[in-house]
Amino acid sequence: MTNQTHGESLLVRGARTFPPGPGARAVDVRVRDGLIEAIGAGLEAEGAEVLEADGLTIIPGLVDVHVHFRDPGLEHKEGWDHGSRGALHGGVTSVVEVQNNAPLSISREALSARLEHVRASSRVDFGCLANLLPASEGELEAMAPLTPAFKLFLGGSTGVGGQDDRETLARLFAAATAAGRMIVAHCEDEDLLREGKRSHPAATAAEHHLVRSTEAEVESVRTSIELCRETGAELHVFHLSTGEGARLVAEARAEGLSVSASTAPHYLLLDNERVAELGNIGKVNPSIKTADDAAALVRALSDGVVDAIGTDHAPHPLADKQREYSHAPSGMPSVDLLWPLTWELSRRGVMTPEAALAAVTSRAADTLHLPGKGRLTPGHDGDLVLFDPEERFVVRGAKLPSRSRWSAYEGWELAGPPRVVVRRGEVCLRDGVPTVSAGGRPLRLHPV
Amino acid sequence: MTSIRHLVSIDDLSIVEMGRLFEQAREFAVEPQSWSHLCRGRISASLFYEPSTRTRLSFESAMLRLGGGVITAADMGNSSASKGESLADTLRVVGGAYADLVVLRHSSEGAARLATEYSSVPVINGGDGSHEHPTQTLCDLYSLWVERGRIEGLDVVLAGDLRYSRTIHSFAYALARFGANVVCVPQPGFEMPEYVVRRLREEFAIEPLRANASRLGELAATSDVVYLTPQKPHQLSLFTDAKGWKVGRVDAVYMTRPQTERHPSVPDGDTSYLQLGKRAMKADSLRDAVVMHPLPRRDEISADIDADPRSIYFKQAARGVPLRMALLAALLGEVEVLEPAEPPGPEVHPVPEGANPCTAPTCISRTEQRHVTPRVRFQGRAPHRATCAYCSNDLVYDFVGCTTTRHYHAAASPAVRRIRPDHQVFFLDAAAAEALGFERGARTSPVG
Repeated sequence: MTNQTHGESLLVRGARTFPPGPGARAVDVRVRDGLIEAIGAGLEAEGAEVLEADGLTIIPGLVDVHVHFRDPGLEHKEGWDHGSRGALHGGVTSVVEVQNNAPLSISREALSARLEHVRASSRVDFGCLANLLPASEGELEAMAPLTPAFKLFLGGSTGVGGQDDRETLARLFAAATAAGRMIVAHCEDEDLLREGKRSHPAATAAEHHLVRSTEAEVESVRTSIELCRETGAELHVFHLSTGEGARLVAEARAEGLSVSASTAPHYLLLDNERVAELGNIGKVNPSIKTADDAAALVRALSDGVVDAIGTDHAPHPLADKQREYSHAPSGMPSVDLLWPLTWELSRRGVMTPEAALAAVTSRAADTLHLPGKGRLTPGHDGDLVLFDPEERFVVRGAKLPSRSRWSAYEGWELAGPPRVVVRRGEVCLRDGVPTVSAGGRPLRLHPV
Repeated sequence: MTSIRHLVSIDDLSIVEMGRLFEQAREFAVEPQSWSHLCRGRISASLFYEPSTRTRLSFESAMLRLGGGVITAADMGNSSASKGESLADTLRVVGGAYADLVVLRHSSEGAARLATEYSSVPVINGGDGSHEHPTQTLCDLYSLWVERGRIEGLDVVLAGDLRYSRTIHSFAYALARFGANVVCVPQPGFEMPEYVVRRLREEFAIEPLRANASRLGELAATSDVVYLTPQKPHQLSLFTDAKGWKVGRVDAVYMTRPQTERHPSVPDGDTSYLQLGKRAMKADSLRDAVVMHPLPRRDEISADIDADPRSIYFKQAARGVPLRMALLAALLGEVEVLEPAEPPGPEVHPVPEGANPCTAPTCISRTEQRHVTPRVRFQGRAPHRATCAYCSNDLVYDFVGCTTTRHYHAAASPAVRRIRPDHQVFFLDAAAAEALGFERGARTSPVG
């Protein structure tokens, strides 16, 4: 990477600043060799290609802190071709990807091979998380320079079993810390998950929130925070689904521990009653909890307790989801809609536009320590999204680029679909159509 | 055409039939106890695949008032359905041998439509997912008719969440059919979706007008009010100024319930939802307006107007019984309300080949594993538009093929207009057409 430039040069002319409204001003943004060089009115092209924004609103390219593209291994469910096209469609120019199917990233060799594989077909910049497992313990130091964080499952989910032995967990927390990277965790308590299954033998999707209970998440978040306190580890809790979990994170922060968290659009916009209507379409892990939890999570995002919104994009063919509850896989696609779903929170007036945007840009990049991403600031990567805040559209899953071709938001009228997406100065999507077939690079990382 | 009538959608009834139904309901309401001879010996079956106690009790009370009997499966979702019995087979048995009429409630859109294909007795849709709940709409219309003596020409305020409530959309279409005017007072961020307004324009020639709602007072203080009327500009000129159409005296205010999951940051007691209370009811425009609500309410109507004679929401709920009595008696042929055949509607045809073109993941044509033939309703030729005959969602397709010529064309191509509706095959993309052996049609070739 040292002998090639960081990207292209581009002048975006005649955009409008975010947030839209009476305070919005005309603005130009010039990207030089992939980096934002200047922001202001009436900029000269100075040799850069010119893109007329025609009054569209400009924001930084989105950072999705949590996707599953299932490639290598389960390309029939997604793959980087479809996945990264979906990302661009949602305004996302950087993804952090979790491999939860074989081959897992448990050695430097496996992780390097995966990075090379992804590089060949990703349209967006990417970080690949290494798996934190007893089997990868000896490789953590070797993997650390190549990964933003280590992914740990405390509770089993699609493809990966959970770690429930307290001593093993303590050892893994300490080992990750010694290797110099943070831990990102799927927090659900294995014992309580088993208990939930036992006590709801005839469950359907309507009871998924009872099978994978609030207590399971809360207990596991509590355990993880204790382990941080014991080992000094830095912890990021993925896909928080409960208000109580957010409260524990807030307490841990107040105590001075390095604990952060993200949640997913479905925990903010759906609730268990809607899941009862959606059936297995709404089956995700952790489960979608109550409307009160959704309200608490929105507040936690606004208050800065929860840092980011990551999609946990987890596609499956519809036929798989139409098996009966206990055999239907968990997970739903949504990277294709990340910006319109985030913008929806602002449109409803439940979050300020600035807070909603930060949750998928600057704060998302900060919480996983991704330099150069998520900000419209000179020196940052020239990742840009242009959208019309008033443009409305009806969600049709079959038209989305994700291979699964269905959406839990089917029929919703959302607004602000990304019209143009720029990655390091290169136009990658225009009017919903990708204009590149690859070109994504590994995310820059801080030295270990 | 079969002589059995069903009620799947409000469109299954003509305006004249609805008028007769209301007359009949008013007759029943005078002394509901004195009609127990009318349906003696008849049985209605309540098949509820998801719970809805109020709807079920209202139907069952109506049937018992008519002297009939009821059999109830209040929890079908956990009984035969989980054993894998198809909806079709259940209807063949229940809607034949066990009962003379079936009231069906189901979580999948289009379930009631499917049920009519297999039932030899009338089927009433008691709610199919987020699709239709026609008896709710009928009850609302009936209540308005009782209070005002007519529906045509009334000015009806719809207030609150106009975006997600399908009940409100159905009510708006029905009001438009009757020739009433609608004053939209949305919760900010919850405006009437564009697709609803578009349908009102296309089917009823209704143009949305900006409205000056100063005389609506507090209720409309934070909303952008829109007036939907079938009246022509010259009829309106007297009431329109630079600020738009001036809202005068309105006949009714229909408040909606905030759906919890759609309003995530509105915890109990801290509501920013529109509220109708004593002060708001002092507005000049509301002097003669009745206040309606589908119940149960939260805080959107404060208890301090419960005793106000204009508040009719409890009466409105009670009127559900005589209205449902009239409907049951009509469908069982005991009163003369219905014509032998349904009012004419758009053509419906089974899909001749290929995949199910409906892409809505919760539509019955997707969720039911057996005994479903995908069907398409042809809404228009230019522009070409087709919907799923079950869930009514717009089909998503870029190409249309002809089963006789084996050619396919872009959906917007004039060639498509010449394909007989029952020969049309819908393709998401060209690859899907080619996979079925269709060839790209020449731009100008005639098509049969």
